[in-house]
Amino acid sequence: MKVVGQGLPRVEILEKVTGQSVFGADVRLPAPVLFGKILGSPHAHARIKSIDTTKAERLPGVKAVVTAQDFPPVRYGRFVRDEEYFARTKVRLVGDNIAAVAALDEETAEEALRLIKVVYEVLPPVTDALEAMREEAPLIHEEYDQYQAAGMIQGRKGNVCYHKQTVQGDIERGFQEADRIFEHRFYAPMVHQTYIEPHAVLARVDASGKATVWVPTQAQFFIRQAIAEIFQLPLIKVRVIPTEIGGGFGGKMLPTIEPAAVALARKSGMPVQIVMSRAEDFQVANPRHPCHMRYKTGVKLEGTIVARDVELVLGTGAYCGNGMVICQRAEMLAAGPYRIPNVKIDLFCVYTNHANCGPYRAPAGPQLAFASESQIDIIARELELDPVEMRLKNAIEEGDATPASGGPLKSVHAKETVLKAAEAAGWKAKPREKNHGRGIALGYWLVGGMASSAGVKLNEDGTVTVMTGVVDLSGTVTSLGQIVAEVLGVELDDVHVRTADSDFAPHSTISAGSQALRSMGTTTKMAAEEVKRQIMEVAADKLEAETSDLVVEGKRVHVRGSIEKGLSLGQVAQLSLTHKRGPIVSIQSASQFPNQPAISAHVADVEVDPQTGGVKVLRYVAAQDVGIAINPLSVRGQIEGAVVQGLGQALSEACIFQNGRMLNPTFLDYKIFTSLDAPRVEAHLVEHAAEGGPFGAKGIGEPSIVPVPAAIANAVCDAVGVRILDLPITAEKVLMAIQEKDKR
Amino acid sequence: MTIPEFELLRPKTLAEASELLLKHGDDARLIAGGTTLVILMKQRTVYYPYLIDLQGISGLDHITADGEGLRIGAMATQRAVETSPIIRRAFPALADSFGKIGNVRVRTTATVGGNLAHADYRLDPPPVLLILGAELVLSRTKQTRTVPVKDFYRGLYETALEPGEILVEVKVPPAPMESRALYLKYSSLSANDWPCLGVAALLNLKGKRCEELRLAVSGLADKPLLIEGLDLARNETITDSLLDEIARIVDEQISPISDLRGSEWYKRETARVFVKRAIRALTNGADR
Repeated sequence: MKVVGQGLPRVEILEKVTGQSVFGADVRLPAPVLFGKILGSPHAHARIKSIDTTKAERLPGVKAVVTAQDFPPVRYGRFVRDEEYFARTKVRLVGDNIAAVAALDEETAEEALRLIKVVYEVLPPVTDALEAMREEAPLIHEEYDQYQAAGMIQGRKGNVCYHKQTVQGDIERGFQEADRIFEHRFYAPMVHQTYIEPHAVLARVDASGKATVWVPTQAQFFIRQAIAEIFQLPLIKVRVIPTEIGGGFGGKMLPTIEPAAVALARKSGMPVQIVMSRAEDFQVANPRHPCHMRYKTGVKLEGTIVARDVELVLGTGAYCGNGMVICQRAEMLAAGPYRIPNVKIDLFCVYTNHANCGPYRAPAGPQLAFASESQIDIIARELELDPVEMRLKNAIEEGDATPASGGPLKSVHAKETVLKAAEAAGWKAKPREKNHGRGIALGYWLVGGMASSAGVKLNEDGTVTVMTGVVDLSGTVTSLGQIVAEVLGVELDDVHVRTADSDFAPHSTISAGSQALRSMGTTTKMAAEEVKRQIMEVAADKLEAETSDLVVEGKRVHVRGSIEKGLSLGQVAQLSLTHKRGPIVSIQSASQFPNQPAISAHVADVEVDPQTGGVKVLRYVAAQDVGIAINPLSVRGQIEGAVVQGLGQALSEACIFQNGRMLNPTFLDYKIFTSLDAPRVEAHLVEHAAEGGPFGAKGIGEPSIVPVPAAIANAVCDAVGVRILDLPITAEKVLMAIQEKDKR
Repeated sequence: MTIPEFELLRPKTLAEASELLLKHGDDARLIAGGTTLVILMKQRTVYYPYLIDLQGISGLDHITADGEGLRIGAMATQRAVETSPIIRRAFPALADSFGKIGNVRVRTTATVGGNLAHADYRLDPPPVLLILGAELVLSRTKQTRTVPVKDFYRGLYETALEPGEILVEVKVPPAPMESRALYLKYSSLSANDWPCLGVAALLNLKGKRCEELRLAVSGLADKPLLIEGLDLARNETITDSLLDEIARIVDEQISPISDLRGSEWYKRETARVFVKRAIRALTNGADR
C-alpha cells in the first residue's frame, strides 16, 4: 500500500495552526447578530411557582425573551421522552433552562436575565444515585411512568430510569465451583470532557421558517433531528452547518444551547449567537456518569475466573439523554475481555439532580475497567500469581463471545496485546526501587458502526472530491482521503474531503464511538471502488481493452504491462462527460457493522511519596490492537491523548458538588493533566488486518483511555501496598491509606 | 463572559491615586496587573464601580540593592523579580517564590504589589518575605509608613492598609551572613496549581549547630504565618527529634482551612513533612 499506512500530517492542519479555521464562536454573518443568554435554575430541585419576564422584555436592547410558553408542549429525548427544553413546572438540576434572552449586546442580555423573576418552591435534591434508589428518596420525575420510552427501556421504578439484568451461564453454580470469591465496591465520580472549546451556536431563521444552525458538533444529524422534534418541524426546515470543533470527546452530540438560539432567532427575527462560559459548560453540559460498582468474582486457585457478578449503578443526571447507550456499553464491557463461563450483570441507570450525563470518550469504560482491572490485580496478588499471567490465562481468544457482544468475536488479539505491552515495559525486569511500582491493566472495548453513506466524484482534472457529512474530530478526514487515494492510485494531495452540512451531505455517522473511520471509511472505500470501476469502464472503451486488463495507478489508468497505453485520470474524467455512462461519481451506503474487539494493554510505572501520598507517573507504555493503522501518526496521537486524559481521571479530576452546584467549574480548580504532569507515553501498535474494517482498520479513539485509571491504581498498590477503591487517586487518599495500613 | 461596567481612573501621581481612593472609598479598588481582579470581577465575586490604574505612575517598578538591603517597587512584575540577577544572587528563595506563582503568562503581567495586597491565604511570596524580615512601605497622599510583613496580614483577604493607602515598595533587609533560605511549594493535585501549602525556611548553621532558624508558611491558616518560638533550635544540631519538636511547634500555630487541595487533616500531615524537608534540605546545603 502506498498511501494507507503512512503517518501523514492532518490535511487541515495549516488552517488550524494559522488561526483560519472557523470554530463555533467564530461564525460571523453579514447581518447584525444578537447575543443570547440562558437563565438556569439556581436550585438543583424545585417546583416553579411563577416566571415573570415582563421587566426583561421592557429593557432597552432586548429583542426577545423565550420560555417554555414559546415551545410546542412536547417532551423529547433520544430514548425516553423526559425532557422539555425550558422547564414548565419543575427544575431538576442547577442550570436547568428557565428562559433565554437575546439582546443587542452581551451586557444587556446578562442584565435582562437578572430582571427575570422566578418564584420557586425548593425541594430536597438527590445527587447520589444510590441515595436516589432508596424508597424514601424524593422523585425527580413524578410522572415517569407516563413518559413515552423506547422499547428497550425496562425496569422503570422510582428514580430508576432503566434496569437491566444480563445473565450468561449459571452464576450460582459458578460461585460454587470457585475456590475463592472476592467482592469489592468501587466508585468513580463525575468528570467532564474538558474540550478546549465550550459549546457555541449561531442560529438564523429565515422568512420561510427554515432554521439554519452553525454549531461545533460531533453529530450534525442528531442536532437536526432534535431541533426538528423540539420545534415540530420537517427535517428540510432545519439545516445544521457543522463548524470546526475544538474537541468533543462525546460531549457535543445532543442539543444544549441550540434550541434556545433557534427559539430566540424565531421570535426576534434576527440571528442569535450563544456561547457558553466555561463555568456554564462545566455545570450543565453532559459530563461522564458517576458510577457505583460492585464486583464479585469467583476464581480457581490457579487463576481461572469462573464467575463474575457485577452490579453497576450509573447516575444519569436529571434526564436519560444518551444514558441508554452508556448502559448498553456498560453491559458489554462490565465483565472485561475475559472468557468467563458464568456472568451476571445488573445495570441501573438512575435519575439524580445533576446535569444529564452523556458520553465521554469510552462511556463507562474507564470507570468499569478501574473496578474490574483493580479487582483482577487484587486477586492475582492474593493468589500469588503474576498479574500478566493471570490476564493471559483468562483473556478472550478468536471466536469467543462476551456478554452482549453480539455473538462470537473475530480478529481477537488480546493475548498478543498483553504480551506486547509487557515486553515493551520490561515487565519481567520490574523496578525494585523503594516506593516505585508498576501496574498493568487491560481495556476492553467493542467497536460497532452506524449507518453511513459517502460520495466520491472524479473531477475533470483527475482530482477527487469526497462528500461526507462526518465531522472531523480526530483526523478522520485525512484518513478518508488516504483511503480514497489508495483505491484510486493518486496522492493524498489529489483528494479533497469535504464535510458538507445536513442539507447537502449524504447521511453520515456521528464522530463518536471510535467508529467514524470504520463506518465512513467503509462506505467511502466502496464509493471509491465504484468510481474506479467507472474509470475503467470509460477507459476500456477508449483504449479498446478489457476492464480486467486495466490497472489504475500513478494518477493514470493503463493496460497491464504497457504503461504507455493509458490515459490520465483527468482525460478519463473529461471523456466521461461525452461517454454514455456520464460523469464519474458514486454514493455508497452501509449500515451493518458487527462488533470488533479493540483491546488495549497499559503498563504504568509510578513513584509514590509515602509522606504525602503524591503519585508521580514515571513511564507509561500503551499497546493497542488497532487492526491496520490507516494513519499511524493519527493513531499514536489518539493513544497519547487518551492516556493523558485518562491520567487526569485517575489522579486529579472530579466534579465536586454542594447541593447540586459545582464548586470547581474552572480550570483553576478542576485539575486536568497538563504537560507539566504528563509522562512520555510510549504507544505500541499491534497490527493485524481486522475483518469488517476498511483496509483492516479497527476503531482506535476510545480503547486507549479505558485502562488508565486501573493501571495507575495497580501501580500505586505495587509501590506502597495500598488499594484505592474510589477515583481519583488523590495524594490525600493515598496518604490516609498508607497511615491506616501502618496502623495495622 | 462580560465584566460589569466600571470607570477606569488613571492618576499620574501616587498622591492623586491616594486621593481617588479616599474619594471613592469602598467603591474603588487599585488595579495593577489585573490578573486576579479582572477574573474576580468577571465572576461577579467582587464589583467596584471605579478602578484606579497604577500603570500610569512612574517610578514604582524598581529593583535595587545596597548595603541596607533590597528594594522592590510594587509595580515590578513578578517575572521581573523572578529573573532579576540582583535578587537571584542575594535572595534566591525570594526569586524562586515569585517564579512559582501561576504561570509565566500571569507573572509577566502581574505585579509584586498586586500579589501581596490581594492577601489570599495561599500566596507564594509572603512566607519568604516573612523569614527575611521584610517590610512594606505604604503611602497615603504625602505620608508614608513602613509595616513589617508580619503585621501587614490581618486575616482572609485582610491587610493593614488604611483607607487611601497604597502599597508602594517592599524592603528586604540583608539576610544574616552565612544563612541559607528556601521556599517549598506543595501542590497536591497538579503541577500547575495553587499550593496546598508553602513553607519558607531560613537556616544559619555554624558548623553543625544552628545559629538561627526561621520558618513561615502559607495555605495553613487564613493568612501567611511566621512561626514563633523557634529559639529552642539555637545552638542545637539538627536531629530527627529536634525536627519532630519543630514540626510540633508549627502544628500548634497553624489552623488550616480545608479546601479542594487538602482537608485540614491532610494539610497538618503535609505541613510536618515539608517543614522537615525544608530544614533538612538547608542542612544539607540546598539554597533557594
